[in-house]
Amino acid sequence: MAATPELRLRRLDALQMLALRHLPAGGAAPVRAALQRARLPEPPPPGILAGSDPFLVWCSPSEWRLVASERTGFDAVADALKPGADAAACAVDLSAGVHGLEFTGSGIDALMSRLMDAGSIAAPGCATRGRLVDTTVLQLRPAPDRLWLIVDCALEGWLTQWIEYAWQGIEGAQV
Amino acid sequence: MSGYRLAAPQGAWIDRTKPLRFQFNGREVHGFAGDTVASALLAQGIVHVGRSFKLHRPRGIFSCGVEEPTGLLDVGLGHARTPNTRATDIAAREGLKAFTGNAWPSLEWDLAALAQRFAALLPAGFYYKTFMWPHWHLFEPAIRRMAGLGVAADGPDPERYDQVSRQVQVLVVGGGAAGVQAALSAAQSGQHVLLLEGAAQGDLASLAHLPALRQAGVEVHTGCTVFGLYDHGLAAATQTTAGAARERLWTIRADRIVLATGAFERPMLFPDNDRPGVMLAGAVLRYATHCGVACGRCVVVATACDSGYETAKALMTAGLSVAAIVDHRSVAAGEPPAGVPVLRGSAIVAVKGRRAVQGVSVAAHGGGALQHIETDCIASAGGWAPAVNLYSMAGGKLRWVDHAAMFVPDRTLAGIESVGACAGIFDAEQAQAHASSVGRGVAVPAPVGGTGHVSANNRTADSALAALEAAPGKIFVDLQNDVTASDIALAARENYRSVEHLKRYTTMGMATDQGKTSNVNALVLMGELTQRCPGEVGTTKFRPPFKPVTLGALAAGRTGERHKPLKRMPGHAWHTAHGPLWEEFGGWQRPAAYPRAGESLAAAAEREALHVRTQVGLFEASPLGKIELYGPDAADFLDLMVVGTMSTLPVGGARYGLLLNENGVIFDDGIVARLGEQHFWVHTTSGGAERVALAFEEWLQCEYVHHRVLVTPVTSAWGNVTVSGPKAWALLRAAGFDARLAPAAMRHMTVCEIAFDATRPAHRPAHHPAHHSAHDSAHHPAHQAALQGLSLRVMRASFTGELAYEISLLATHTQALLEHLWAVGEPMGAVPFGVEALMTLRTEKGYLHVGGDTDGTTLPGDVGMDRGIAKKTVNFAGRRSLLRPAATDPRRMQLVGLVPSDRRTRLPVGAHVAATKPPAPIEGFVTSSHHSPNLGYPVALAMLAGGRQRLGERIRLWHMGAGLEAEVVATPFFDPAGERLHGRDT
Repeated sequence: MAATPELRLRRLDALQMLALRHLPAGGAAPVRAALQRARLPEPPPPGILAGSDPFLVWCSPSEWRLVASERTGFDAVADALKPGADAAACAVDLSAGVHGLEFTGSGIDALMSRLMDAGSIAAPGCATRGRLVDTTVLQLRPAPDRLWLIVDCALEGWLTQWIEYAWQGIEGAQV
Repeated sequence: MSGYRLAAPQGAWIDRTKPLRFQFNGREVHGFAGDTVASALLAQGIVHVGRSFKLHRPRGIFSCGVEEPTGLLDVGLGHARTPNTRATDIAAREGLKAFTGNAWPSLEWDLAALAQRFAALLPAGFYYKTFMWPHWHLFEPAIRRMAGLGVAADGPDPERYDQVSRQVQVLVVGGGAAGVQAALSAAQSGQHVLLLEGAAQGDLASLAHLPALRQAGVEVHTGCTVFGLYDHGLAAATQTTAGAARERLWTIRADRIVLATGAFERPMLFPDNDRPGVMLAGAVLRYATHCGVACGRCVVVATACDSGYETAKALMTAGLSVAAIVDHRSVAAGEPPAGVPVLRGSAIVAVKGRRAVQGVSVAAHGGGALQHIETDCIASAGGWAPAVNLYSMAGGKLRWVDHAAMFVPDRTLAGIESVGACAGIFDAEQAQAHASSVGRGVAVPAPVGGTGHVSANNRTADSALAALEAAPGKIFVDLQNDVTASDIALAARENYRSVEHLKRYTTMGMATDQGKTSNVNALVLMGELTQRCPGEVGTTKFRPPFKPVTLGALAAGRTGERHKPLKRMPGHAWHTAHGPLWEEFGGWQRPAAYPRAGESLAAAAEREALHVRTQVGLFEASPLGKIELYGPDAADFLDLMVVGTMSTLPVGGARYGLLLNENGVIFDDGIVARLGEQHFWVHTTSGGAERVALAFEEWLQCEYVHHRVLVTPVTSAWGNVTVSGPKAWALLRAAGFDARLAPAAMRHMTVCEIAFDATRPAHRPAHHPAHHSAHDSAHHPAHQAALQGLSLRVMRASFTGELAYEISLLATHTQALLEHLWAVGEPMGAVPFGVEALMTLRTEKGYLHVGGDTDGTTLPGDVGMDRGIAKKTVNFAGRRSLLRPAATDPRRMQLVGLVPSDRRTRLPVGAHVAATKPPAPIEGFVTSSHHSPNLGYPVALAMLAGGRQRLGERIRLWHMGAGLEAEVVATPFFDPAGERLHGRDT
């Protein structure tokens, strides 16, 4: 999509996202079992990014999100937790409703600090939800120089506008 | 005053190898890189730069920084014009154009200066007393025109603005000696330090320390002024940049903030102390040392403190000539420079010259003979006022130090410390030691002092003025707002003694300088007049911004398409291809209608609405809120949340329901469909999904904690295409949809999940281009190929009153389905229809539009939806509130239909129902109104007191002063039996 020596941007065209829900009282055993069967990582605690594409992200005490750049491994989990398969848990496919971008390079923080509060930018190894120019985004940061940004697909145009604007802001800027 | 350029080494900020030129009021001005507009003007001997706010007196450059009260200019042209900005704070640059903003026809001959002749009519608060007869509004426009200080830009700002957020351990505000020392100490103790300096190049001391700062890891930014401190260590700053962006907005979160903002010099109060050429002494010195500019050929220093003597010495060292020192005090510790006469216990009683200082008359406080001194620059040194603005913004209290005549921070705030002059520390060595401790994080009391004795009241005494034997000139306390010492006295006489009242009554301390050079003098005067010490008078609360900030910097790019988030529907491209008129509805960008050439929005909406009643229309309803509810207790939970009973729904059934808050007020509505025993699909209003999902979660987490239900909003994951009209099924059948969807097979308010394959041959008309026999997707159009084996949720529900299918599918396939249905439907006469047509159709049917027909008081009974509530056996949110007397009052407003009596005049939404022209008791108001293309006359919905009891009554409505008449009727207006939505004719 765009690139400078410090920063490259790629659209995650086939981004997949599954909401893994379980009843608070019922425990996460059904979700853990489904993940285990699909050889996916253990659900992480809040703020921590687990896995390496597919990723697992804590979302609430009763929800994790399974995120990947392609569908591999997803169907097994989705089938195991499809509504009706387990009374205490379910999976809801949100893939069609999200838009994903991958940033790589050393300029990630310079760009993100123009789009959101510096304290909200995900640290390496972390996954957080943050407020990015008046919208909610999910950030997955597997490494200091790699960041996934996931936003409601209805806001793709808005996000694109702002990234372009902020990108121009860092070109030639000294901060 | 005839300024000139001093020879090197004076002028540390300027680069004499880089000359530049700019224009001031059309006149060419020469300067060097590093000059401010003010320094370049002064170097060229230009002293008269503006006119005052109220009296239009000639004004010049007064200071050397953000505190500038009078040197205010407009910069730029047209769209890029920035009005009313400080010449002392703008870097001179090649080609810049600066103007005086409030003089006409010219700066030299300003017509509004006639106001000086009527100054007696314009005392403080004159607009409360004079110009009242016959009416203030007659005079207000002219007075406002005269009072303006600049001309606003005439179009959208073409400049670009940047913003950046930063998180640091220590933020040091100010790059003077104390700030630099604090930053170095903090960095050397291992802290991540950010130092921001407002001046473009920093102080000379800090310039020398730059290498050390960088070596210690301190991040330094100049031209960056912190203008606000907020809760939780948040600071905001604006930086002038030289790159692609004009300004950069910084938001900084710091664990610790060290304020090193210095101090402002207090002016002396003497008659005509506003003449161009009267300047702050520190500014005169700074122009000499930093910019290499002599502000005059012969300077008189008027002082009430020892620093006046130091300034006089430094000026002479820099090459300026000092004619005399006029000391308000009788005793001084300071030593004058050799050969400079000192007039102690004396004051200036008159200034010669109107547009430039030519001389002064001095008298002793006790009166006696006048001394006349030739001078072209008066350096005013009345003491120091620590820049406590940011400290006060953060909630800090101030205390008055009498011997130094200044307010200083009373105590350290959590996470915020003051060092150097802004802490009241004027002894250089003590300031360094204190700043060093604070930088390391060691809390030590501030050693306030170092100024020597400063006379709090430095106003020329009346006895000295008597020596003039003539009426003295005005003594200005606030130069920016033309507030004089007599205005302060007037406020005291009229009992505006509170500092807050003083400010509002006189306007002292308002506008761009926020009283940086006037506040303390005004408080001292008020104290003298009311027998209080300045500490008892107190200060007003300092508020952000510390200096004026452009709106562009605050907006930081939030303009045009970046103004606010607007969601796009998945079929956006399809709509764009059909030429819609886009509008925002509930945070979504949606087609209001698809006007044809020359067609208005209203005409297009009526055409589309008529077409849907007679043929078929396509509508994208993707913004409909969609929530998946799953769990063993989902049915019971929905009974608790929705007015209707949902637990009795069979799988495949759907039911309309209202959602109420605890007060029984409708906050959303929608359709609940049952997909499985434990699985429900909830449609909410467009834009209502978030609030409904939050309400569900809140009730689950706070009240119904034992209910086993999972709530997952999925609005954006699912698109929705609605096919509506008598030919809706014919279109779907032709498009390859399963016969199970036929109206005879699928009842209204049912839902089914089907697999759809658009490549399958179905009942397409033979002439249709999509009709072909090959099954291979390679031979199908792309949109059909994209619709193979697709899972759809099809609901028979209608907001138009016609046969309608709401088809939900993955958002990623919505565009393809629209294209497919259009390819099939266009030859059959299908049209796309927008939100305006939908609103017309639903109004014809009298269907409720939550948020349009309801407000924060509407109960189910008000809109006729309380049937069945009494019979419902289980409780639900808001039920108890519906039993309150106010909820059952028959005089409550109720939703009714209105038809204009003349069957022609559309009733405006918002028109009030009242028996007589308002102001009068209001009986109701119009909530929805459209011209019905199907009925041929306008129809409206309205909330009307006791409305359902008033059917057939003729009522009066009022809108913008005009009266209208309408008849109260029952709804629906169209198809009252509701037969059409069953599609029995198809």
